[in-house]
Amino acid sequence: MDGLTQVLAGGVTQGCLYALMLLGVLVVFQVSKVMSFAYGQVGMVAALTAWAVTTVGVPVALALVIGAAAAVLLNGAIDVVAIRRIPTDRVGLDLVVTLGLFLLIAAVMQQLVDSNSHSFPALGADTQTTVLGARISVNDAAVVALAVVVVTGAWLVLSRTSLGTNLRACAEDADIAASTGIDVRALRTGTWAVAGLLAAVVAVAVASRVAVDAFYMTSVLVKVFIAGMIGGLDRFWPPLLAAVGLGVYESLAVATFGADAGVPAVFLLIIVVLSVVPKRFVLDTSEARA
Amino acid sequence: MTSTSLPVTAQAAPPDVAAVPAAAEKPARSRRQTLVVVVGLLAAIAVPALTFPAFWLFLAAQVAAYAIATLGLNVLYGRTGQLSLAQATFMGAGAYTGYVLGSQGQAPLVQLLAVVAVSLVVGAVVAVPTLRLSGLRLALVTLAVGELFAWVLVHTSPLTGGSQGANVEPLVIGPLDASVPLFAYLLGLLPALLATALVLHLDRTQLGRRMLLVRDSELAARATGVPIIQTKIVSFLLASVFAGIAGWLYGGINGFVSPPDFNLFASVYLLVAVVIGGARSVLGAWVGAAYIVVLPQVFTALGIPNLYALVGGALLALVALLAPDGLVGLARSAVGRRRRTA
Repeated sequence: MDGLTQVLAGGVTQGCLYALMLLGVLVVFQVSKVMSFAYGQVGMVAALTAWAVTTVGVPVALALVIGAAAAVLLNGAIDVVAIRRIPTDRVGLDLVVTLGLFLLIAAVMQQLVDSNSHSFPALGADTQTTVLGARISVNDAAVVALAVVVVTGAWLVLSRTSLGTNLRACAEDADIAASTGIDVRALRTGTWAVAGLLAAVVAVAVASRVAVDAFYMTSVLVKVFIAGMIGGLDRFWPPLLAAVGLGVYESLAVATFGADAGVPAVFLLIIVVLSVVPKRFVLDTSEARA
Repeated sequence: MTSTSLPVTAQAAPPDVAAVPAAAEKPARSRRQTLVVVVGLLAAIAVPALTFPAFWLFLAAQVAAYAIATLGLNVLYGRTGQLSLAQATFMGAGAYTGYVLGSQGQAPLVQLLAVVAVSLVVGAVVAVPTLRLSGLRLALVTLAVGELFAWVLVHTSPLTGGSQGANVEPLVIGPLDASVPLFAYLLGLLPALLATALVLHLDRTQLGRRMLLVRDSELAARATGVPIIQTKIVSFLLASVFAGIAGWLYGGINGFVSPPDFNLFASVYLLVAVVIGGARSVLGAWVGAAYIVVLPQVFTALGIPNLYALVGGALLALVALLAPDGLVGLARSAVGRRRRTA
């Protein structure tokens, strides 16, 4: 029983990380109708930058702020420099362009830092306590709490504020939104910047558990996309719950079949889900460019 | 009567007058063009064979092998519009099939038949469940297939050599031994030319036109009675068989295969190659293959090997944004502008 609790706790924590990252993907997708393969790399930039500045004596807290700022600027810049220039009638071009940015950002960071793996500060991952028979680290608890607060906050902003109304108006029809005086471009770039911050938070949390290199966020991003595909990118709660569910499923697969089972379990899931779900769930009508 | 017939004659005359010399010139021009293409092709084949040092000849063989894979992606992505991140997986299936059979002493013909059979099966396994998908979903599922394949390779080390990779016996067909650079070049080039001819011929077939229609508008394709599912399956199978044969040749020429040669990044680089060269152009597929094989060597020779990934990423984003038809398309439009101004 304790073992199952431990597995579930680990899965929920992992799922909350996926959900936090997916929140950024969802908001960007709904406002810009773009999926960015470079999104994980934006988070990687935050973590690797933070690690690099700690090596020259900068305190960890300040290093994290610097890393997060880098991610915010980078994701905003991606929108301004690349995404805005993609013609709306070029289906799939956003994927190709962001794949290029994915490679470019990784290569730039390898040049600026290096190609090796590095240990990131633990950020409470090594301080544990027992709750209901499961060992929970401070880092785990912080991730779950942050996910609950941020997701709830995002939902409140989207559903109860004028900013949320503007965002939903942009998501529904950018041209009409612009005609009512909403600065669609600024709103989109702001959304990308906020998503960059979310990617930075997740990347730092992941970095505190695994070694950091230029590609360590790739598998996280793929799983985030998988959760988005399963839950539906044009919704709010279903994909986020799917993200938490995916974390639990992955954790259960690893606990049942061993550490190597995580990868095939997740990838088999997406193949089966997208192959067998009713056709109306996989039509791309609302995801023209993606 | 006269008044009505005169204008008709007058209207009909110019096209007739213009058509006679045009019709007479056309076969002559066509013959000249064919001659130029044949001479150019022979020169392109002969120059590397006669002048390249062994190392560059060996690279040329790899370019030819990769060109078959990029031609396959040209069919699947460039012509049918299916964004697949499994092309390196298809290549890997061919490479490891060749390796396993070659290590058991099977003849090249048996290897080739098995490679084609395995590629057809793998292509069908990927194609059938993904027929309803497009865009990101298709990319994601094909990516998942690639990751599963890499996982299988790493976890079946007794058969595949696992993460350490495996040494492959050089491909030997008759007197052509791939351990000799000139023969490796010929072994890569001949199938690549055959693949090129097939893809060029595709433009003239109904299947090729169906692919273009599926790419441009599935709705229009459905309205005109194009069998979309059948067209997509054929496209996937062609891409898979092309890549499988490319992987088999790559293994036999390179002498070594390992999982990183066929992982997600390898698939992304194949996409980079096709987009940079020109996703809808046969020549672009060759340019892309040359890019993928030669450029890393150039950067290594310059002492800056890490720049390859940087340049690759930047080029993919820039070319996709600024030159949707790739470098070949860019060159063609430049030549066209020059002719118009001349």
